Amino acid sequence: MTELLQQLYSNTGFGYIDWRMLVMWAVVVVLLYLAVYKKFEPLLLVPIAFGAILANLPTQGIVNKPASLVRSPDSGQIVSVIAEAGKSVYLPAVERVLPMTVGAIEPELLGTLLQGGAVPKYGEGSLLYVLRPIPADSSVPESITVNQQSFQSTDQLIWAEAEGRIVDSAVSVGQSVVKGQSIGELHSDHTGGLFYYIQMGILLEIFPPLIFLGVGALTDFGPLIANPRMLLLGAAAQFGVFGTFLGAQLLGFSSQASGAIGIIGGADGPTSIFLANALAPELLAPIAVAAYSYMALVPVIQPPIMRALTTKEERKIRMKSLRPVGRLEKLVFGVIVTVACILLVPPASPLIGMLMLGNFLRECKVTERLNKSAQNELINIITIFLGVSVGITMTGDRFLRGETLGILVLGVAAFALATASGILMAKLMNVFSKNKINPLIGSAGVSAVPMAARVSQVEGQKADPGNFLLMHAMGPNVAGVIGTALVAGFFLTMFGGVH
Amino acid sequence: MYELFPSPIHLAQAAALPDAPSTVSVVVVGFLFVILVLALLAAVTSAIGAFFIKSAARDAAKAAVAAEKAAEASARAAGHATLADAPAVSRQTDADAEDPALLAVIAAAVHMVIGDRAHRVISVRSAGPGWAQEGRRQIFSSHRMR
Repeated sequence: MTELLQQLYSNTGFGYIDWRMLVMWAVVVVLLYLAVYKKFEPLLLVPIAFGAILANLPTQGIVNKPASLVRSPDSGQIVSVIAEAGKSVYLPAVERVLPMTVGAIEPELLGTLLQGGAVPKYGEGSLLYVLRPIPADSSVPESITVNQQSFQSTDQLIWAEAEGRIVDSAVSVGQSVVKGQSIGELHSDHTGGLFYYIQMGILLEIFPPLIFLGVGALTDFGPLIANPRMLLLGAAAQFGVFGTFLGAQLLGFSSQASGAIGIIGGADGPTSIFLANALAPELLAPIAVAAYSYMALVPVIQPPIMRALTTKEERKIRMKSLRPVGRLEKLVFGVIVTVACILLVPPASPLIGMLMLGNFLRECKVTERLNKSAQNELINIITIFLGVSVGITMTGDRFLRGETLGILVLGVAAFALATASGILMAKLMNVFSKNKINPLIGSAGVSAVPMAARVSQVEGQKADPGNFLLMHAMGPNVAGVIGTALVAGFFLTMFGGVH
Repeated sequence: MYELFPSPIHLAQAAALPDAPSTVSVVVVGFLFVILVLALLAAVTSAIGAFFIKSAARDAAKAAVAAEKAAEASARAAGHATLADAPAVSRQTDADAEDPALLAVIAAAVHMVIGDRAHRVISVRSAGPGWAQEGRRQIFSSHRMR
C-alpha cells in the first residue's frame, strides 16, 4: 500500500518543483493580474502568462523536440563517444539549460554521464559526445581529468535534444568533424510536442511578417498622410533604440546582441522577435518577453515621463483638424513607402512588404474578404501562437538570470528614452512651426499601436477634457511602425544577420 | 536550427567585448539614416498631398461653376419665375429644415455618402412623416412577440 502510494507520488510532477518555478508562478500571477484585472493588453499578456505557466510545470508533449539526426555544433575532433546504437535516451521532465562545455559541469556528474548513467537534472544517456573544437586563439584551456580521461575545459558537450533510441552513432574517438555534420541519429515514435512545431513560426521568421500583415490591415495611414511631419516624431522616437544599443554595448553585449536588445525601444513585438532571431537567437526569449511585457505596460511607463517633460499649457494645445485623405492618395502612399523602404533597406522587406500589403488590402476597397481575414482571424490566430510561444520560453532557470534581468532593465530604459525623444522632438518642432503640435503626441512615436496613441489621448484629456488627440497621435504612432522596421533593417544591414 | 532556449555558452558569446570604436558611429549614422529617410518620406508625402489638395480644389471649382450654370438654366426654364420662388418648395415642407444645425448635419451626411467629390446641397426637403413611422417600427420590432 505504502509502496504503491510512493510509486504514485514519484509519477506525479511534485518532485520537479523548485524555487525558480515558484518565483515564476508569482511572475505569472502578476502578469495575469495586469492582464485580467488591470486590462493591460490582455490579448498579449494572457497568452504569454499562460505559456509561462506551462513552461514552469513538468509538462509532457508540449515543447518536446522530435527525435532526429544529431549534428555537430562546431568543427573539431571527437574526444569521447558515449552514444551507442540501441541505447535509450531519457530527458528530465522539466527542460533545463544544459552546460555546453566540460568546464561548466561538475566533474562527478560528468563522470556519471560519460558512463551513460542517469543524472536527475540532465536525464539518462542524454550526453552523446564530447567535441574538442578548433581553438579560436592560442590560449591554453584548463585541463580536467574525469574517469581517468583527460579533457579541456572548452571541450563541448553534445547532448541529445530529444528522447528516443539511438539508431546510429556515426563517429569514433579521434575523428574530425565539421560544423553541421551528422554524427548520430535518434528515433522515436513520438514526434515532438505541440509547441515545438508552433515555435517554428518564430524561428523561421513567419509569425512577425504575418502579424505585420494584420497590423497593416488594421492601420489607417490617413492621419499620417494628412500631416506628414508626424513622420519626424516617429523617427525621433527611434533614438530610444539607438540609445539602448549604446547602453547594451557599454554593458558588454556584442553588437548583434545590442541591436536586438535596443529594438525593444521600438515597442514593436514582431520586429523585436524578427531582429532578435536574426542577430542574437540566443537572446530571443528574454527580448520577446521584455518587448511584449513593456508594450502592455505602456500606460504605466509613459505617463510620468510625458508629464515630467511637458508643461500644463503645452498639454492643453489643441491641434488643427486633419484634412480627409482620399483612397487614391492612401494607395499611392502605400506603394511609395513600400518601394522606398525596400530599396533603402532590403533586409526590412518581409516586415515593410507585409505591412503595406495589409494596408493596401484595406484601402483598395475591392478585397474586403481578404482585408477582414487579415484584420481578424489571421492576426488573432498568430497572436495566440506567438504569445504562448513566447511565454513558454519563460522557464525559471532560463529567465531568472543576470542577463535576462539586464535585458529587462535595458528594455525599460529603451521605452523611456523613446518616449522622451518623441516628446522633445515635438517641442523642438514647435519652436520652428506656427502650427503647434501638442507634445503629448510625440510619445506615440513608439510603435505600440494603438496603445501609445491612446495614452496620448488620455493624458491630453486630463489637461483639457475637450481636447481630442487620438487621431493626431495615430500619425506618429504608425510612423513609429515604419521607423522601427527601418531600424531593424539598418541593424540587419550593419551586423549581417546570417541565417 | 536555432535554439529558442539560450544556453550559458551562447549567453557568454552574446556578452562578448563591445566593438568600442564603431559603437558611436553606428548610433550616429543609424539615427541620422532613420531621420533622413522618414524626412524624405514626409517631403514626398507632402508633395503628393499638395497635388491631391490642388486637384480637389480644381474639381470643387468646376463643380461650383457647373452648379451655377445649372441654376441659371433652371431659372431661365422657369420663365419669369425668380430665384426667390425656388425656396418656396422648401418652405412648403418642414420648417425644421431651416435650422442651421440640422442643415450642417444633413450636409455632413451627404458628404459621408458622396465622399470627396465636389458637391453642393441646393435643396432640402422633408420626406414626410417617415421618421415617426420608422421610430415606431423599430420600437415594435425590438419586442419579441410571443
